[in-house]
Amino acid sequence: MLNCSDVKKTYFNKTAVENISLSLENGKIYALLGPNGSGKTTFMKMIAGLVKPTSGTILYENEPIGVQSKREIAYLPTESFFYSFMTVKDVGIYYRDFFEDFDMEKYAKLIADMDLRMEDKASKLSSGMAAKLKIAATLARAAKLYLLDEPLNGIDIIAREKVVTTILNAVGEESSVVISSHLVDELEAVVDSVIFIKEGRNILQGEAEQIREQRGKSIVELYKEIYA
Amino acid sequence: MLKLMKYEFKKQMFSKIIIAAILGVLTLYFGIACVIDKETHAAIATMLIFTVMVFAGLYVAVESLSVYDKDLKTKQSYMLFLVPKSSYEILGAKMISAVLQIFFTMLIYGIVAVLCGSVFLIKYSSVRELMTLVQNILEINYSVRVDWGFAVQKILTVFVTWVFIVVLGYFVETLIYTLVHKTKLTSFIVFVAYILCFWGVVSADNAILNVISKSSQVMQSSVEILFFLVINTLLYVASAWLMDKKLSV
Repeated sequence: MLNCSDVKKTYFNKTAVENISLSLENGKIYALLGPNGSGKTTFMKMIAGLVKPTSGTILYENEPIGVQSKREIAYLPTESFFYSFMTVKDVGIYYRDFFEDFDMEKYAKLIADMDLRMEDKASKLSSGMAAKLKIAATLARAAKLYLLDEPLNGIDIIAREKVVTTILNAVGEESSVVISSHLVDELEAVVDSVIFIKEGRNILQGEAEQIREQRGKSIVELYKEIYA
Repeated sequence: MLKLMKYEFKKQMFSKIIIAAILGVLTLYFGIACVIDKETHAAIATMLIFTVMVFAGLYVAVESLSVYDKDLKTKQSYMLFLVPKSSYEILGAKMISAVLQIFFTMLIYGIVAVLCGSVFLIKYSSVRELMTLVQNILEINYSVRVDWGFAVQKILTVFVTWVFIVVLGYFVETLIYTLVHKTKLTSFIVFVAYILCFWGVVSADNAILNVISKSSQVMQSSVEILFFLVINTLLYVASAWLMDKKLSV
């Protein structure tokens, strides 16, 4: 589905991502793990087409990132990004206007599940509610690849489990999901594969179960060992 | 592209309401002045509508560039750059909506100003004065042949130069945000770069006009239109290419 080869991104003298090479398969849930500033967001933005790599190639279905990949990849940024004049309903209309795979009924259901109201102003929402709005808008798309950058940020500990369940229920079996987070506990039980990123480099990647068996440790323990 | 344009209009909706409200107030001022028979105030109102027309057009142009600046500088950029549209469409929608907004703002102000001016002339010029005015216009028309082709050329020249003002802004912003890391100073750098580029292109235009200064006015005007058409096209293509290949948000 997605092939990255020696992908590098530098900002003047600072390297954000250094020679990451990996492949993503259909129907899998990937955890992109690493502390803040490790390059997770930059890497996701490159796949989403927001950031251009300095070198290397990213191919989605054997084509460079572009209009077609944007049709099939749903990206959930970590920050709030909706236009200030928009209500929750307007956000849905915007997505419906531009994404053919967007389902307004599914969006309305997700909005209700997240305890949001259609008439609420997007810019006036609390950080937790704004995070839920982003999740609802992204998951209402029937995308082939979901890139969820810190989807649990701003969401209280009680609601996190519900949000993770919502994500798992909303995503189709054929679709793949990449979830970046430093809240590894919440992801351990649900991910198929893990990608550890440190200082812009992909230092470990594989099936979660296989890594647990080989290392004799849980992903949480391994995370602490690598980044402590 | 129409959907992209719809959201561009929405982003600048508030200023349109203010501009419309100002026009409403000035028209009301003119109406009241006419009703209570205050000639000076009616004249002031008409002049103000003409003056605000130019400033409103300029403001809409600057605001459209400011919106693009915000689109590039803030997280709002994701709304624009995540949609499955080519950079040529995204930029095209922005440029067309900016030009249309400037055009219609100035057109509506212009129509109201002309209407107020006509009412003023009819109400406050005596029949004799009005007749003299019409006669003078007729005399001018009879003695000086109006070259409608040249007039259209002049209007086209004004149009392509207004488009240039907008398109250059989009190009400079795209270029600077591609080259320079986003900081609080970036908008200022964009402003300085814009002034320099504007000066450069206008100097080139003047240099070309100097070379053909002995040609007819029609020829000079045609060359100027062609010059700005080429520049506008190059700037648009260069901006869209940068956005597609190099720009990170």
